[in-house]
Amino acid sequence: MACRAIICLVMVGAMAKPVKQTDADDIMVRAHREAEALSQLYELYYERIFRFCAHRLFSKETAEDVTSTIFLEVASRIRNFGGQTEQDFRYWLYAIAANQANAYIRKASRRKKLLAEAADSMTAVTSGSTSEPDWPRLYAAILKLKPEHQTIITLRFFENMEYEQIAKILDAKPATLRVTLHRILGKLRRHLETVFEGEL
Amino acid sequence: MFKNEDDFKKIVDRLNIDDKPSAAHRESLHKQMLSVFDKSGEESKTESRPLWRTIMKSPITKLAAAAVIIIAVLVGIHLIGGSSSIAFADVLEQIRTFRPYSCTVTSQYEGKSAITRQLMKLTNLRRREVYTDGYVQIFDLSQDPVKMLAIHPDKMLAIEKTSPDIEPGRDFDLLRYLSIIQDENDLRLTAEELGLQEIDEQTAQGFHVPGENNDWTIWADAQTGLPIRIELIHPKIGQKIIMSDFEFDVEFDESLFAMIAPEGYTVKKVVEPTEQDLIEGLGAVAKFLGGEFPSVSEFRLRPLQKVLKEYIEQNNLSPSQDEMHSLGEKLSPAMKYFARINSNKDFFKLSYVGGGVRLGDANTAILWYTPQGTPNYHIVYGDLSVREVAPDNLPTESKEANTRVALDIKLPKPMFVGTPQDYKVPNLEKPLGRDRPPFLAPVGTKNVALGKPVFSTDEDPFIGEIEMITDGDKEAADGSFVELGPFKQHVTIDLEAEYNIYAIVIWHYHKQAWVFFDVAVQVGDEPDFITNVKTLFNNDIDNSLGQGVGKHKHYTETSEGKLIDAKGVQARYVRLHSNGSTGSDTNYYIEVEVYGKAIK
Repeated sequence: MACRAIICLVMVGAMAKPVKQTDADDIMVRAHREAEALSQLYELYYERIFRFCAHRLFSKETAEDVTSTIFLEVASRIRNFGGQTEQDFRYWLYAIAANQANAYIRKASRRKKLLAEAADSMTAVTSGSTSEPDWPRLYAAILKLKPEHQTIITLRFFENMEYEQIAKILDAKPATLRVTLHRILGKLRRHLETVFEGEL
Repeated sequence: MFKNEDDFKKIVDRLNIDDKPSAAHRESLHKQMLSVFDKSGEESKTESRPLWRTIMKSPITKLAAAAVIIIAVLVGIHLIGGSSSIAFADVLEQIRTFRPYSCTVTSQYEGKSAITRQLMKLTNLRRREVYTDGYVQIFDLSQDPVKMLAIHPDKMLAIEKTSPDIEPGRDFDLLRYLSIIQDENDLRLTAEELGLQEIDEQTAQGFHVPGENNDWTIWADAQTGLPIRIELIHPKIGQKIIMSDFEFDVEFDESLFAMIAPEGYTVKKVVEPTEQDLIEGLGAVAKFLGGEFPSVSEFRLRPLQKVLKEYIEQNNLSPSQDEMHSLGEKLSPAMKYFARINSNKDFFKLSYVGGGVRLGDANTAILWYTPQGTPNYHIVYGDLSVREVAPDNLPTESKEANTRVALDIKLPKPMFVGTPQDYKVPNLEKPLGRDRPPFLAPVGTKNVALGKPVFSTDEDPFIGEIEMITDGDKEAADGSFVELGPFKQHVTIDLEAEYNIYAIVIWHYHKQAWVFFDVAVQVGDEPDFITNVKTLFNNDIDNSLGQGVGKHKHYTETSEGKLIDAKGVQARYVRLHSNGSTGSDTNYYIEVEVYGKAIK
């Protein structure tokens, strides 16, 4: 097992280079005070966080704005961040990202805007609909969920995270998440049915 | 459509999503981020965070920072290099045997001003302390009872204090305490050499002895091993003590230590309260309260006064002046004793756990503490007997069962601003005009409704979803509340197990200062609420709900929510009724919290 830990590689994002776990932890420790190390973390995570935002916020333009907010918050707080490992950083970063995305869509006017964008794309993309939702339809249904539930959907199915990882990010219990997700999927199914019927 | 998680995952995997970021944004954000990072570094440099606070917060930098402190604080230190000439054992050897000494002692609590005094030790049990303003304290711990003379030159006043509770023959002396460090057999207490330095024109050998409770730095004469400067940090209580300007083998004039007031001074004699006073006071209070010790989180005057007042009001009592005078006479010395042992929690380690314990209960502890100078605890039981026990034998279960602490209810952001409209609602509670006082509940009480299933008479709300009632989101913003149908509706929370419920807090809709009608809160042990239903709150003044006429008052929605005292009732289900509000016929819920503890 020790051997496994040593050779454990962290692959972050399609463009990122593989980084040894111990090296990544070292980068995290240095990032408390060194700009260069922070830059390395940025390179490791930028794309992942952008994608997370794009999945949460549909619009790439909005995703860019929120991604900016997230990394600027990281830059201003990392000197006081208590984490010592790359894993600590990852959970912290995703927690910030989830909060920022939720903060964005809590405003009803913004939600409406996103929904309208999804509806526009839907008309353009889905001529000849199938029984399976395309991305705009699925997004419209997801957006009907509570922001916290949207986060769980994104982390679980778009970021492919385990319950234990999501639990760390959301400060919840894995067992509770499992039950919650089951309920969320039930709601999502109902929402999708209404989206298919044209009710946005 | 999908049936389960796996199905849904397959759908997501087949989606065609354009989620590629742009290189320009990546590059531009990178630059912005580094600029913010640099700026945060500059700000942190200019922050005036006390250095020794940093030591306490960061165990990693503790040792390094300790060395920095010493350099920063001491004047006249010059690193002179060289190898060690004495060992730490030599220093301990020098102070293990008492020799009359004097030194300057500076004591400082974090964030407070330093207090400096000159300490003169004639013997292990006799000392004189002279403060910078001329105030003098002389202690003689060789007598029984122990005596202390306090001399106030500014007031020409001398106070002779007798402390029957302090065991004679024990004085707290830092040098003596340091000398027995090795006896503690604690691996953490291993001295690290700090090298040689020049301190006040003497060559000093430094030693650092880290510890969770006491962090020592000792500079001793590199030839003799006698202390030159000792710095002691108590990280847990934020205190720093520096002893310097040592002189050993001083031939003091013994009259400096005489317990005699200077000529012309007014002499006041004070006998300090004893443990017996405390016990008698406790007994008197319990007797007054119908044979039960008071439920207070701390045994202090104000909380106790409140309990007494409430008891008198609730029981419509009219105690005579003699009764109150008699209680006061017993309580006064007891409260002085409590004030003393409350004044230094780390030293006396007082725990009061007597709330609800019956007077005469010989098996249940009501409090314990460490009297001055003893390593063991004194436990006072409900029958007012006292037993001395070692720290390992404290009655932890009793403590947990009896201790009441303030519920940590996180409040949402207030949304309503302005003067509430006068809706002319009958039987309306007046606003408190201040924050709700803390609600006390047993240790370990928490919101047991969080994430629990909710059922409702309206399973298809106009806005939101029923689950939002227990989702932990108490904000009144859009997206945080559920709007149920009009008129009479109820929601039922299944706690999924039986709990002792101590409080229920309800936020219907605090975005507006509305008053909800026919609010009734019930608990039960089955979901249909047919048998064994207990009503905890009911302001249905005309029995619209059919649950009986309620006598509780209407109340106005605020961000504090409505707290209902459930008094530890056992139940699994909680049902909340309402019947519209002054603002709408529909029924709103933002959040319901049920504070309880699992039944063992």
